[in-house]
Amino acid sequence: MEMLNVKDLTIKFGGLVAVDHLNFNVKKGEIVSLIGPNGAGKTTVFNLLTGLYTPTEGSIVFEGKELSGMRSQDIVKLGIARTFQNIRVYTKLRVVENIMVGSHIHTDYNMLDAIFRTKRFYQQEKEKYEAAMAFLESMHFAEKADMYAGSLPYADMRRLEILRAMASNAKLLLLDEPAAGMNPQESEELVQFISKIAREDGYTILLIEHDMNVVMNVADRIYVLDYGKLIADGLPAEIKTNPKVIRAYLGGNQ
Amino acid sequence: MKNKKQVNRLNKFETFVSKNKVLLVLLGLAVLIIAPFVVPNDYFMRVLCVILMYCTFGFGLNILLGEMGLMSLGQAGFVGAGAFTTAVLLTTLKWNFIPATLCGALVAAILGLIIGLPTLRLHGSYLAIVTIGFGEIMRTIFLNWTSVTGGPRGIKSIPRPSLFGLEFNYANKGFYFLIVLTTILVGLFCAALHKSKYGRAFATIKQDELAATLMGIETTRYKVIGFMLSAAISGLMGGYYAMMQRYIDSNSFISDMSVMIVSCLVIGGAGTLRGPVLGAILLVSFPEIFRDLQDYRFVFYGLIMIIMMVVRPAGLLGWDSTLPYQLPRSLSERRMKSLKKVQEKGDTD
Repeated sequence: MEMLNVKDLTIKFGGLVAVDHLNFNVKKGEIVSLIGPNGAGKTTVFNLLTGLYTPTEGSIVFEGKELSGMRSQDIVKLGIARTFQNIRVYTKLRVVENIMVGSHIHTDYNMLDAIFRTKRFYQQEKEKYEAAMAFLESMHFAEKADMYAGSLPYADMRRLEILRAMASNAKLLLLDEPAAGMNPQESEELVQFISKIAREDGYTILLIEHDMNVVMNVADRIYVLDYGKLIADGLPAEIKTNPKVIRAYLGGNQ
Repeated sequence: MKNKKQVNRLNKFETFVSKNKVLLVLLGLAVLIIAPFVVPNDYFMRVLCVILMYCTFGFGLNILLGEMGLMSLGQAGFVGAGAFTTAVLLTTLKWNFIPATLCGALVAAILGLIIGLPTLRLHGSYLAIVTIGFGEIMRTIFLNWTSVTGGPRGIKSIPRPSLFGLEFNYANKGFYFLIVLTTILVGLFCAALHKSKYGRAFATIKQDELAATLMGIETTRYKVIGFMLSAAISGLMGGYYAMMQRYIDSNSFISDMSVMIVSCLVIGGAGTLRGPVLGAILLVSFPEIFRDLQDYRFVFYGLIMIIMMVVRPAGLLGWDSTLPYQLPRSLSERRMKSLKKVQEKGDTD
């Protein structure tokens, strides 16, 4: 049974068809990668999945629920969280606060609780803080908990963004170029990290990535987009030798 | 980047403050209590009251500018709405000052909602311009709605606050302590809000609204809440302003006031509560000390603002804490303990 099922997804910006009748699916526990040359519409797909754009046509079904037309905030609550191509961690908040922002939607008290410091407020804050610390501990990030996110090294900021997405109790993580700007060693660590959270912690991952080393090492299946259209899909080994994909990336007549 | 030495010094200072918190709070309270008894006359009493008022106005604007990064140059509009509402209720309807000031806060909050909703998509200079417009519209309403605001004649002989026949005035220091109490309560309110999921949500809106939306945070709701709270706080203190001046008209709430509130925050440090306190002390007392330069006041403000933007954009007291993250405690821990005691008693019975 597919966790995410995208059918005939289309979005037009004026005359431009950014995503054109796209079909794909993601099964629970899989790592699926979305690749394609610059401007192929990969990030647009993420924006459609997270409710930033409303599709012109087609449907997005996540765990049996139709997502198109839903607000971003409600989609997050269903269990889809994402990261961004350019890092968007809260640099002026501490690492642990970033994680607590991740669990914001599960923090259940109102303004009166906050002002009068009721038992509920205190319990919720403590619970979320402890959960955040335990989570950071399990991800070997605890020693950085008190640091401001802005003072983290680049690769750690990328990782924190993924952690923050995980902290929203997401089942499906959409990672937009997590390896961008990383050196080979850092992207190697990222590959291991992504494999671990998928294989051991049970997250399902949809990944946009340009670094082919990362994609080939981590992905179970690959979809290739070009000019908004799906041009190929399959196992990494198949994609590597697919002539259509090579042409899309390198150009050529035939 | 700050250098290590500065960070170390800051760390030492912050450690000292957090270790001696109780002592410092008591010291602050002592100063607040002793101050009215050492000032020579009512004029200085008034200056103290105005400082406290601008602290509160600063706390109000801080929710917008400091916490959410939304610039409002129309705070005087909210202050005026609170002041006129309170004044009308006190003079024509002879209400008690407590419900009157609360109504003033409520009216301001409704205005906050009205200005907040259509400006949700605006940031930075655009929002600043719209809020300047709002301030001007409010001033025009105060000037022309003669049947309610008295128009150009304003509202005269607004009574001092009183409770059970006891009047709070300068002579018995009651008015001063009333403002102290209100300022402290507003300060505690803001501090509590800051150290909760509300403060975190506000911070995410300031830093990256798109990312906040995609973490499931209802950014629209939080912005409207922020506008309403900021307006309500300004309106509440606006009521006290009316009772202090005893006479208000549309000229009391011109954009000078809004600019002054913004200056308090910029100089002291937006995003903190200590910032507006220092800002208010400096900006209110300076023109009083240098009376001769009164006419050039706003020239100096402009100059100070420019220098601050260049040299220290975070404000004099604006810095990122070097201490580890602290859970909201103090009140609540004691509360938990007492709750536990009550529960245990219940269990053994």
